[in-house]
Amino acid sequence: MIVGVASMSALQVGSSLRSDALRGQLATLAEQQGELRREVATLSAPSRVMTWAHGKGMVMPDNVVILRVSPATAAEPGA
Amino acid sequence: MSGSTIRPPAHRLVILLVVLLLALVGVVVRLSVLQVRESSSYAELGLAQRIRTEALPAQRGEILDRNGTPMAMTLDARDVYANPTLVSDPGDEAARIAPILGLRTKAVRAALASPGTFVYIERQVDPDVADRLAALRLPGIGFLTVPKRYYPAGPVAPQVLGFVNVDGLGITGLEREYDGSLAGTPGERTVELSAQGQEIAGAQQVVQPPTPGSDLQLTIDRDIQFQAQAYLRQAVIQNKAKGGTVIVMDPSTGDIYAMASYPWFDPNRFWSYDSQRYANRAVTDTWEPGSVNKTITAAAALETGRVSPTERFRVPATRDVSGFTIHDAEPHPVETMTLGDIIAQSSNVGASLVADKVGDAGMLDTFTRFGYGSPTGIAFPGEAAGIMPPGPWSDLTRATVSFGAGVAVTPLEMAAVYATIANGGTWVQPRLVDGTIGPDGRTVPMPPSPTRRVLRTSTAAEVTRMLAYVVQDGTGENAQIAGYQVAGKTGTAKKISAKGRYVNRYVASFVGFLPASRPRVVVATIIDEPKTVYGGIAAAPVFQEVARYVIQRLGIEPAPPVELPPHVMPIP
Repeated sequence: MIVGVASMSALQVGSSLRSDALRGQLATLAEQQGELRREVATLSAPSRVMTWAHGKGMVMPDNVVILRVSPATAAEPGA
Repeated sequence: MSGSTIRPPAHRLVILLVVLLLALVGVVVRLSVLQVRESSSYAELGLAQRIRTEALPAQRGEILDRNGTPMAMTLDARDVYANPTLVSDPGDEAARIAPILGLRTKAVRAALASPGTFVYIERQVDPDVADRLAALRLPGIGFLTVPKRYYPAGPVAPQVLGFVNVDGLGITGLEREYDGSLAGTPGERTVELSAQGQEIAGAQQVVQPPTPGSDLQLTIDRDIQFQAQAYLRQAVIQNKAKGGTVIVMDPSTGDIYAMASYPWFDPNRFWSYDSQRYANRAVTDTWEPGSVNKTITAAAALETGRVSPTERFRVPATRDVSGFTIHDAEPHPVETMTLGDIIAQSSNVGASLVADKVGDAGMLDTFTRFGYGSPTGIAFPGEAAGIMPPGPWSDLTRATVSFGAGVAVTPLEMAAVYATIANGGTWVQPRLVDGTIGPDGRTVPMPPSPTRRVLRTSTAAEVTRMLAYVVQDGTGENAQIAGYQVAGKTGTAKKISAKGRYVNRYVASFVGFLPASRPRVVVATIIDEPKTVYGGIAAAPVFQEVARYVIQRLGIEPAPPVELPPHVMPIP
C-alpha cells in the first residue's frame, strides 16, 4: 500500500511538473504572439507607411476622379 | 537488621504517581487544546506561512479604429525590482544594470543601497531588455510580469485615445471614459511554497482566472485621422499659428472619422510632454466662432419666416448699435444684398440687420435648438457646454451674436451645427464609439445616436444653397474641390484676453460639407492665431486637403450641384 501511495504521489508530481512546463510554454508563446502583433501594428502605422512611400517617390494625388464602370461596359470584356 | 531494606514511605510513591499522572493529564489536555480546540487557528497560521496569493492582472481591452485596426493594445512587460538586503555590491551592480535599462548609474545605486527588502529599479521594461538583464544573474534582482499599454501608431488621435498610468488606470480620453469596460476583472492564484519560498510542484493551487476587458471599437478611421493631423500640422506651421483643430464627421450617423488638436503628444511617452497637450480641444475648449455663426442666423431668418431668400437689404460697411460701431471686414459702399449675399460676403452689418428682423425670440430659439449652451453629450471626459447669453438680449447682444461674437462653442458643437444643415435639418449626436467587443468575441453595438429635428428640410436646403454660394463665389473659394460642390462658411474671430478684452489675435475657421446636394462628410477646421488671420486663407485650404483625402478614402462620388440662392451681388 505504501509503495502504491508513493507511486501515485510520484506520478502526480510528474504530471504537475509537466503541467508547469506547459504553462510556461503557453506564457512564452502568448508573449511571442503579443510581440508579433505589436510588430504588425507598428509596421502598418501610417507614419511608417508614408515615410516609406515618400522614400519611393510617391505623393498624394491632387485631384481625384472617381470612375464608375457601368454594368453594360463590364459585361463586354473584349470591348 | 541485616537483610532488611529501607523502603521509601508509601506516600512518597503515591505523590510521585499523582504528579506524573497530573503531568500526563496536562499534556493530554494541552494536546487536546492544540489539536481540537485551537487546531483551526494553528492550521491557518501554518497555511499562511506556506501559501502565497498573487493577483492575476486582467488583459486590458484593445482600442480599435472603425476598421478593426488596433490603436491601443496591451503587451507583456517586466517590472525590475531589487531586494537591497541581498545586494552585496551596489556600486558594481548599478554599473551593470544602468546601461541596459537606460538609467543613471547614480540613481540605480541609490535604489540598491536603500533600506528595506523591495524597491523598483524600473517599471514596464520590454521583455527582451529584461531578459538581457536576467542573463547577468545579479543577486537580489527580480522581475515581475506586468501589462503595458502600447499605442502602435504613436501620436495618432492621442487626445481622443488618452492614456493609462503605470498601474493601468485610464487617466485621460477614452481610456478614462471607458476604463470600466476596458479594464476587465483581475483574477488571483494561490500557491503553496517550500521553506525556501519556492513553489511546491504538485501542491494544491487555486486559480481564479481574470476576466479580460472588452475591446472598444471607435468610429475613428485611423488613416483619415493620420492624414487630417498631417494637413493640420502643415497648416499650423505654414501660418505660423499657435495650434489648430480638425474634425471629420459623418452628418447622418454622427460618427467622428477624425478629431485632431495640434500640438499633440505621443501617448507612449506622455510624461515627456507638457500636460497642456493632453486636452482634446475639439471637445473641451470653447471659442468665439465668428462668421461661421452666420449660418445659424440665416437658418433662424428662414425658419421663422421673417426673411425670405429674395428679400433685399441695404447694407453699409458700418453700423452703430447702442453706441458701438459694427464693421464689415473691408470698407465698401452701401450694397444691396440678399440673405445669400450677406452669407457669401460674410457681412457683419448684414447679419445684424437680419437678426433685427428675426428678433430675440427667434434667434434664441434657433440657437438653443442647435444645442448652444449645452454639451453635445458625446461620451468624453470634460466636454464643455459653450456659452450662450441668456435672454432677453440687448440690441448689441443680438447684433454681435448674429456674427458670432459674445457666444462661445466647442469645435465639436459647431461641426454638429453644420452636420445638422447637411442632414436636412436633423441634429445627430456626435459619437466616438461604435461598439464593444467582449472577451467572448461578441460585438455589442452602441445604440444609434439620439437625434432631434432643428430645422425644416426646406430651410436646411436653402441654407445649403447659401453655403455653396460662399464656396463658389464668396469668402470660401479656397475650399473648392474640382468635381465636387462644397458647401461651407469661413470664420475669423478676435480672441479675448484673460481680462475679457478683445485683442489683435485671431482664430480662423472653415466648416463645410460635401457633396452639397448629398452630403457624406462634414469637415471643421480651426486655426488658432494664424499669421494670415482670415478663415478663407488659413483654414479653408486645410478643409480642401482633408476633404480631398476623405473623398478618396471613403470613395465619395460627386453629386449634382445645388442651385445657388437668389443673389444680387455680381458673380465674377
